[in-house]
Amino acid sequence: MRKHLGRLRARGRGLLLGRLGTYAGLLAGAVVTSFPFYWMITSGLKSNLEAVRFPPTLLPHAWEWSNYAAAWSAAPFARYFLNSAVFSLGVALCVTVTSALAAYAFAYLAFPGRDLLFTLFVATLLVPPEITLIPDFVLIRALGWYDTFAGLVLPLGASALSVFLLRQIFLGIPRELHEAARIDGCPPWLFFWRFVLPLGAPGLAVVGLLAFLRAWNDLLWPLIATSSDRMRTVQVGLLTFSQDVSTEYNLLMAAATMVVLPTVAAFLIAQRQLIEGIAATGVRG
Amino acid sequence: MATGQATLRQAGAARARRRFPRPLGAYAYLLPASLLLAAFQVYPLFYGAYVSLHRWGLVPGEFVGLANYRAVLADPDFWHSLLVTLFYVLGTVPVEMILGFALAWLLFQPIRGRALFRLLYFLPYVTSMVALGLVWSWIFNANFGLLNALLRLLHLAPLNWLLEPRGILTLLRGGTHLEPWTGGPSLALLCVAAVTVWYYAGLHAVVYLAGLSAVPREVLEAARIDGAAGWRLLRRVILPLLSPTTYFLAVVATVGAFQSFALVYTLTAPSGGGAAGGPLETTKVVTLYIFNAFYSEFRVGYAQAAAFLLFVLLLGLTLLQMRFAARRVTYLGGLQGGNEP
Repeated sequence: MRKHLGRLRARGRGLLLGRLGTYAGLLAGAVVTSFPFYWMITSGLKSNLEAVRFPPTLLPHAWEWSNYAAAWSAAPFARYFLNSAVFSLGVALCVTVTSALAAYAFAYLAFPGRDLLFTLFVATLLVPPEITLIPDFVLIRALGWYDTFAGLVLPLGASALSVFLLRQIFLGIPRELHEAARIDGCPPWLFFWRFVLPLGAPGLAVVGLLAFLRAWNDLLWPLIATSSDRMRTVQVGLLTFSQDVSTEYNLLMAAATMVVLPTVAAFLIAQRQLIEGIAATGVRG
Repeated sequence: MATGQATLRQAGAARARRRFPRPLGAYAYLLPASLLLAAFQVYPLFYGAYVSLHRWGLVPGEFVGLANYRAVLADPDFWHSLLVTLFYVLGTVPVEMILGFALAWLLFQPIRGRALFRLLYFLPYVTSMVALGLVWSWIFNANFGLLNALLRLLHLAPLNWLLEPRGILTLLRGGTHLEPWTGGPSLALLCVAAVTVWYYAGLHAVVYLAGLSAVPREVLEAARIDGAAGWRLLRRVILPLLSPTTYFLAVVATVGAFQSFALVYTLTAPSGGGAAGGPLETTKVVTLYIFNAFYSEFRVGYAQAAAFLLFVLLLGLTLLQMRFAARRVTYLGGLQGGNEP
């Protein structure tokens, strides 16, 4: 009996140790993941002297909120943010609209060559970005779109992955609804407008947000498709800013915090849907 | 009775298959997406081939056949960039996957605060690589960075981190000279790889967690009843069940690592301006090589040829992974819904 009890207690201790180990591992992961964010925010609030002082301080002695104003005016960040907002919202809108329309056709309309076209759409996913980069650049120059919003937005304006994702979501809408609409003589566009769009709204939001995040965080395409300071996005602007103020780390970190803020806010608002959407597709930016 | 049911079922199936019969209207719905994809994804594939076969600098030049391809293959810098990329891929993909799985396994346990942990792990993935690259450059900064401050506090010699061209094997041996091959990847490249792992491990954890959550409870219970626990449960039951997820992540991560640009560019662009990929080109991965040929040297046809060569290499690699996986990946009818490539 006592032996049995002892074994039980040992097992309980093992479980407790296992539980503690689990939390220790999770916490270690959380600290390593979030520390650079912490360091970015706090470094951005230190004076330049304190930022480079040894030993480093974990929290700013004096909170220099003026760093944000200083960074904001040290480069045309207002213009960069405006450009990035137009670029990212434009891409998000364009991707959502074109993908919703195409996904609806693939999910609900009958027409010759549907399966072939769908295969072709999916096949465009196999074309890697490094192949299309230079031709797209030559193309937007030929169209006179170099250094314009049209040239920035339109090459990213359609996404086969989004079409695929939305088609899956639209197919999840109860079949009976479609049947009833058809029997009542509801035309396809009305069914799309009145039923598919509202019922697919969460999916549309995820697709739009993913497109927004991708465009906001993109460096390569804005770097190549624009040349003037007037058209720079925040990513290109932040990079050039970092080369201009290379020793003022506090201002640099304040600027980085500002650039990160919109996407982190969007993520926090819609994190559950976004994480599940990304986990389902495994997209990698 | 039976025939009646069969007809009913047939009618139902036919009805389910029937869609709106409006062929012309359907093409109108497809037009915007098709137009954009055709113009910016499909046409560039052919136009890119055309560009790569011409001498193409600031302005288009004459047809040169495969000369650009031959020139790329004859350039030692191209092969060096492939070696750097290989080090980078080997230093990131397996580590990301193992760390991602470990975090997912911890998250899969009955714990509190799962949503919060998941959110934190995922945070880097939605954040700008430029901003995070700059933060890490600041942490790695040789003069005022946090890591060297910690080394100083521990009375250890500071390191040059992102500015260190010497190989890690050289450093471990205490060598002071630059050894091009035998020194291994440079410490700078190792730093870039570490930041990459930091950036992507959370994504892998979330995808693995989705895979783990899709394993039916009954399968786990049955395995437990049969006496599988701990390591054996993981090795014999969980990992085989997750092999489609592992395969999918391995392919996506490998292709992604071969194509990574923004992080490497930000971490290695010198502060005064100039070409990224330093120190001494030890972090110049193949995408930086292509970007440089195109953007700084205006060798457009040449850069496009290099891009096609990279594409062929990646295609071959993916086919290899597929053949390797065909023997090892086990699909349990629809278990991994959504995660098959």
